[in-house]
Amino acid sequence: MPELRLEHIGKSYRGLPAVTEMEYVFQRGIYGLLGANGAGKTTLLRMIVGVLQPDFGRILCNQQDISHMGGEYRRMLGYLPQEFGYYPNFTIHRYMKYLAELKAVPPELAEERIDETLNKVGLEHQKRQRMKNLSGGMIRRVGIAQALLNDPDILVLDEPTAGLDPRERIRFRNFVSELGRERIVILSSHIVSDIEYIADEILLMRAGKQVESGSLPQVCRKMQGKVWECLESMESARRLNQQFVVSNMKNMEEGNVCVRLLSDRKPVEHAVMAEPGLEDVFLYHMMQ
Amino acid sequence: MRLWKMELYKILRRPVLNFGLFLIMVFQCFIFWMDVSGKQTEIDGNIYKGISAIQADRALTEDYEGLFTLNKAEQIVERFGFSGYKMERGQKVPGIREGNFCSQWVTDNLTDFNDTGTKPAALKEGEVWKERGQQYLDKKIQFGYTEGWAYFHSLWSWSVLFLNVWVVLMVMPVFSEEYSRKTVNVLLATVHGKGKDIWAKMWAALVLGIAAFLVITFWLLILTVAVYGATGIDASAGMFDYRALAMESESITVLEHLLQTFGAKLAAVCLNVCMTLLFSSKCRNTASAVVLRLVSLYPFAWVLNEVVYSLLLDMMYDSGMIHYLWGWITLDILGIICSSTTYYLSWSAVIGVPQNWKIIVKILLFVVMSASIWRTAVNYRKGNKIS
Ligand SMILES: Nc1ncnc2c1ncn2[C@@H]1O[C@H](COP(=O)(O)OP(=O)(O)OP(=O)(O)O)[C@@H](O)[C@H]1O
Ligand SMILES: [Mg+2]
Repeated sequence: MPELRLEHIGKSYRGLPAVTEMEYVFQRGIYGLLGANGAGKTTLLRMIVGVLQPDFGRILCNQQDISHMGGEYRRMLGYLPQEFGYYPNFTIHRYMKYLAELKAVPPELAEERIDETLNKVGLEHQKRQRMKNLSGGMIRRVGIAQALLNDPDILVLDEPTAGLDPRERIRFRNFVSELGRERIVILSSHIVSDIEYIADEILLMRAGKQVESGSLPQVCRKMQGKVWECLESMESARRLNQQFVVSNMKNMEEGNVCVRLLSDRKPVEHAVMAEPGLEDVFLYHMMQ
Repeated sequence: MRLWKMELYKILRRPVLNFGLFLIMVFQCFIFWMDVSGKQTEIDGNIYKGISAIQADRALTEDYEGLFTLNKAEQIVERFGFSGYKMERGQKVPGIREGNFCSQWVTDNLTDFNDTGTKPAALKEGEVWKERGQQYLDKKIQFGYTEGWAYFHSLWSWSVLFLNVWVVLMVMPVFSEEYSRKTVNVLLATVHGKGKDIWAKMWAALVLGIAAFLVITFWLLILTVAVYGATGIDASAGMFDYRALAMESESITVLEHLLQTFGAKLAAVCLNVCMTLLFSSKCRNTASAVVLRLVSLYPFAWVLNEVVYSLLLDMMYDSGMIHYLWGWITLDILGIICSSTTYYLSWSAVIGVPQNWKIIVKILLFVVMSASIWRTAVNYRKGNKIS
C-alpha cells in the first residue's frame, strides 16, 4: 500500500508562487481537493504526478523521492489532467492501445484492460468512434478510462466530473468510491457535492496554501455555530447580503426569503443556528 | 518496437502532407520526361531525337571510352567540330545545342565556350587550355557516357532540397503538437513517457526521414537507368562534377562519387531531422516552429556562406589578416560550418573540400546530432511547455 508524503513543496511561475509550503501525507482513501480558481490545485497535482518538478521540497513515495524513482513511480500512477488532450483522428480504441503501450501494460492483457475500463465509463459501444466526433463529456470519460488503464495505486484526477451529465456523475462516484478502498485517489473539483459524497478526506486550498483538512464531519464540526438561517423580507435580505457572506437565499411564500449566512456571531436576533455543510466551509475559507 | 511504430503512425497520419512525397516523385518524372523529349543529337550528319538520341550518343561514346587523351579530344574535334547553339531562322535567342555528347563535352569543358558563347577556333589556345583542358588530362579522366549521371546528380540534389522541406513539415509536430494538443500532460505521467517514448518518437522521425530519402533516391535511380542506361558508371565523376575534379586524389569514378554524395545527402536528411526535433521540443506552436526552421534551413546557411564568408574573406584580404594563423583558421572554421549545414550537405558540397575537413565535418555532424537529440529529450522531459 503506497504512502505519499509532500514535504514542504512549493512552485512558482516567473516569481509568482502558485503553491507554497504544502505538507501532507496521503494514504489509502479518497482525497478531495477543493479551492477557488487559481488556488493552485492543478499545479499541486502536476507535481504529484511528476510532470512538474517542485522548486522547493520533495515528494516521497514510500520514503523514496519520486524524482529518483522514474518509471517505477509512474508505473503506479493514473492521471487525468484538467485539460485532457487527445488525437482527433484516433479512434478511442487506438488511443487506448497507444496509452496501454506507454503505460507498459503487457500486450496480451491490453485488450482486456481496455474493454474493462471503457465499460466502467460506459463507452464500450463507442470504441470505434473517432475522438473528434465525441462530445466533451465523452472525451472526459475517455480521460478517466485511460487513467485507470494500468490499474494504478495512485490515481490523480483533476476535475474529473467537469462536463459529465448527472447519470455519468453518479456512475463515476460509485466506481471511484470502490477504487478508493485499496488505493490513493486524489481528485480536485469545484463541484462541492461531488467531493462531499465521495471524499474520505478533504483538503482546502487557498492561494497555494492548505487552509483546512480532515474528514467531512471533522471539517464541518469546526464550522459549528458559524452558519445561521433566518427568514427575512426582501429588503432586509438584501441588506444582509451586503453585510455577511450569504451561502444561500431561497424565496419562500409571502415574499419572504430564507437566508443562510456565515458569521462568527449571531447576525440578527431571530437567526437560528444551522447544520454546516461543505459548501459553507468552502465559502467561509474563501471569503477570508 | 511497438511503440516506435505507433509514433510513426502518428507522424504519417497526415494525408495531405504524405502527398508531398508523391509530388516530389511526380516532379522527378516530369523533369525526366521534359529532358528526354527535348533531346536531340547529331552524329555524322544524322539527327536523332528522344530516346534514340540517347542510344546514339551512348554508342558513339564507346568509341572514345577509357583514359581520356589529347589525341581523343583532337579526334572528336576533327570529326564533329565544336558545338555551338543552333540558331533557327529568324530567331534571336539561342536554341538547342549542335553536335552530340562528345563534341559538346569537349567544347564545354576544354574550351571557354561557356564564358564567351562563341565557338573557339582551336582546341589548344594558350591560357584557356592551361586553365581548363589541361587538368582533365592531368587528372587522368576516364571518358564515358555520363550524361545520365550528371542529370541524376543535379536532380538528386534538388529532390533532397525539396525532401528536407517535406521532412520539416512532417517531423515538426512530433513534440510541438503534443504541447499544443496538451497530450503531453498525459504522456509525461506514463511509465515510458519520459524515457522510451521520447526515443521512440525520435527514432520514428529518423526512420521516416531516411525511408523517404531512400524512396526518392531509388526512384530517381530507376528513372535514370531506365532512360540513360547504367553505362558510364565506371567513368570519372570529374566528367560532370568539377568538385570531383578538384579533389586532391586522382579522379574518382561515378560509382564512388555516387556513394560519397549518398553519404552527404543522407547526413543532410538526418541532420535536418535532428534539428527539426530540437525546434519541435522548444516550440508550442507548430506553424511558427516550421517557419523558424525553414528560415534556418536554407536561407541561414546560404547567407552564412555567400554573404558572411565572402565579406570576411574580402575584409581579411584587404587588411592582410589572412596571413595570420587565426585569420585563416577563422575562415576555415566558417567554411567547415557551412559545409556541415543541411543546405550544403544536400548539395554534397563536402565532395570538394579538403580531406582533413571531411573528417572534421563528420565529427562535427556527430557531435551536433547527438547534442540536439540529447537537448530535445531534456526539453521535452522538463515539461516547461505545459500550459
Ligand atoms: N503555466 C503557467 N504559467 C504561469 N502561471 C501559471 C501557469 N499555470 C498556473 N499558473 C498560475 O498559478 C496559479 C495556480 O494555478 P492552478 O492552475 O494550479 O490553479 P487551480 O487551482 O487549478 O485553478 P482552477 O480551479 O482554475 O483549475 C494561478 O495563479 C495561475 O495563474
Ligand atoms: Mg486547475
